[in-house]
Amino acid sequence: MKSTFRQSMACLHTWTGLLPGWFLFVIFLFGTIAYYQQEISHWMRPEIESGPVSARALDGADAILRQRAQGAGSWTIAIPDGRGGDGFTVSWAKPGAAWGDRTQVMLDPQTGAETAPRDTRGGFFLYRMHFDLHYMPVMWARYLVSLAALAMLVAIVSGIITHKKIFADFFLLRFGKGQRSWLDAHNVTAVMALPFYLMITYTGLVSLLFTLFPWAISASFPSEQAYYKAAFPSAPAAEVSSGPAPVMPLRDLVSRVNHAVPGYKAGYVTVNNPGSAGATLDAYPQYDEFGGARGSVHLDAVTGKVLAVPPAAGGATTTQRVMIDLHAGRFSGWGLRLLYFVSGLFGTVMVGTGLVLWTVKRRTRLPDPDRPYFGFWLAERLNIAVITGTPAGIAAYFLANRLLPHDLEQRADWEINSLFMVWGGVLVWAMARPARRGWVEGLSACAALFAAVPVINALTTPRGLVASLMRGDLLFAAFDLSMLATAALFAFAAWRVLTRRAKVPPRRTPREARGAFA
Amino acid sequence: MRAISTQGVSLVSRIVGATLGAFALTGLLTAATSVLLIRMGADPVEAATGTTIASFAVFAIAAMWVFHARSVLRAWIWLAVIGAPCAVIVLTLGARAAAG
Repeated sequence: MKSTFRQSMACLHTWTGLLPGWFLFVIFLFGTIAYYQQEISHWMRPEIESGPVSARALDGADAILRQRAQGAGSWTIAIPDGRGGDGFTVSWAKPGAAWGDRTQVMLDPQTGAETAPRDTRGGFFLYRMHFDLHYMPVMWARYLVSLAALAMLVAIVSGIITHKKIFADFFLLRFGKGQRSWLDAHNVTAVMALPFYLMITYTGLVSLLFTLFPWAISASFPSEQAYYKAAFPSAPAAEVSSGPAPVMPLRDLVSRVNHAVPGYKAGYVTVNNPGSAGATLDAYPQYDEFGGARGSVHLDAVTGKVLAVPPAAGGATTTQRVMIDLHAGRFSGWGLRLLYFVSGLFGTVMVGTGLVLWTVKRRTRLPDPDRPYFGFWLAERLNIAVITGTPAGIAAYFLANRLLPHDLEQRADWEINSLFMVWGGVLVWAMARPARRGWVEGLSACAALFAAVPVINALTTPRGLVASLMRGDLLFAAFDLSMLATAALFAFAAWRVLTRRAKVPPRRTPREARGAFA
Repeated sequence: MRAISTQGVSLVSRIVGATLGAFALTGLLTAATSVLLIRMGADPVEAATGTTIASFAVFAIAAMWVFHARSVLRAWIWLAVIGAPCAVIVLTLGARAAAG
């Protein structure tokens, strides 16, 4: 290849960016939204109040488990952190029963009273969609997501080499100049949060460590189980004591767990063999402490004696934890969280403008723009379907949460199906319509769907925007207002595409096209 | 049917080298480094975790380097020259080899 390093990197950037680009757009968008997954969960469960779990609520859970879960093989208690939204739940099952046969009860985190909010997976689904996708085995999804992230890493590094004038490009955003504007927009959004993209891509790969390159494990350990046994040592076997004995009060057990390791906050607690003298407790943390412990704390659930704490982590394991925490940002307060969210949005726009740039650049070279070759046609349609279809689907997910009847069978699944039905609808529509019309209609559909969310919310719940503002409920008000802002942005984008195309028909400017290097 | 040009073969070979070739090299290098670190006394979990964290950077560098290499043949020779000793290390010193 007789070319300079920069030229070959430009070529590499184009193709490692385009081929996984649609997929990356989806991963970026869902990941960005997932920074607010608990706030979204809260909005999607308007029946419950949010907030940290109180000692009173722990007592309520304790009472329910003692009264109704006698003779159960195990009790589990999921304690959400202060951001809430996911409900404070307890569950239990008969000895030997399958996991799916558990009885689950959700409690109000403040009062401990039993509540039954609508069946939804809330913001948690949007978070899982970010790396587990949907309608496919989780491992396949993680292979695909890891491969896309690896391509993204190569695209970022080759992109940096391609755009050597990074600081000059930062101040250069020319509007209304066709291809130049798309290139400028791509460069500005790329450069603006460049350290964030490198960090988020690399830490994302580390979050799914051993997915793509499991061979360090296969070469270093006799078996995969041997690795897991060494990395996550299990609890010492409890003494087999016969006879009944009551479990210590739940609030004392949780307090003992939290004092066993500095900074530890129990998030998911399992009591094994409650009611017997050999009852034990495993607790996993809430993961909102930066670089905090991952492993479990084990207690004797009758005496409260600490049996095991997570082993001290070495340098590499600590690096891995810090990277995962940097990626997920669970530790961040509202300011840093907003910065994460905005950087993620810029990343989504960076991928989106890169995808559009690929078609804009090639359209000027088409012999007949009305009858492009198949690859161009496909890229253009996929751009419309992904860039406008994904947000439309997410708006539909929120709308379905408010509109589906509460007693619908598998209601939570139907919320998710609604997301994909709308998304698929936009895809079919984009295939059938001329490209410009497809853009305008896709963007308008997004604007309409997002604008409908606060309206439907006000009509179906007592927690509409006006009511929330009067109550001083900032979270609900902020959610509705951000829906309106999103709708306004999509409406503006639709209006721009509609009017600009009419005024300035695309001109063929081969010199400009040759000068651009993206 | 038109004969496939040498340039086309070269491009395909380069793309395969920059993807699968770089992938295989990264896997071998990661595994061999982990095995060597353990032989030098490192904790096995730490060694496997640390080398795998670094593997993504190794892949990115390898992919860009193969993509840019002056000739594809040279790139493949280098992939083999680095990969072969790694494979030997994994096969002779790896945990499964040691366990018999």
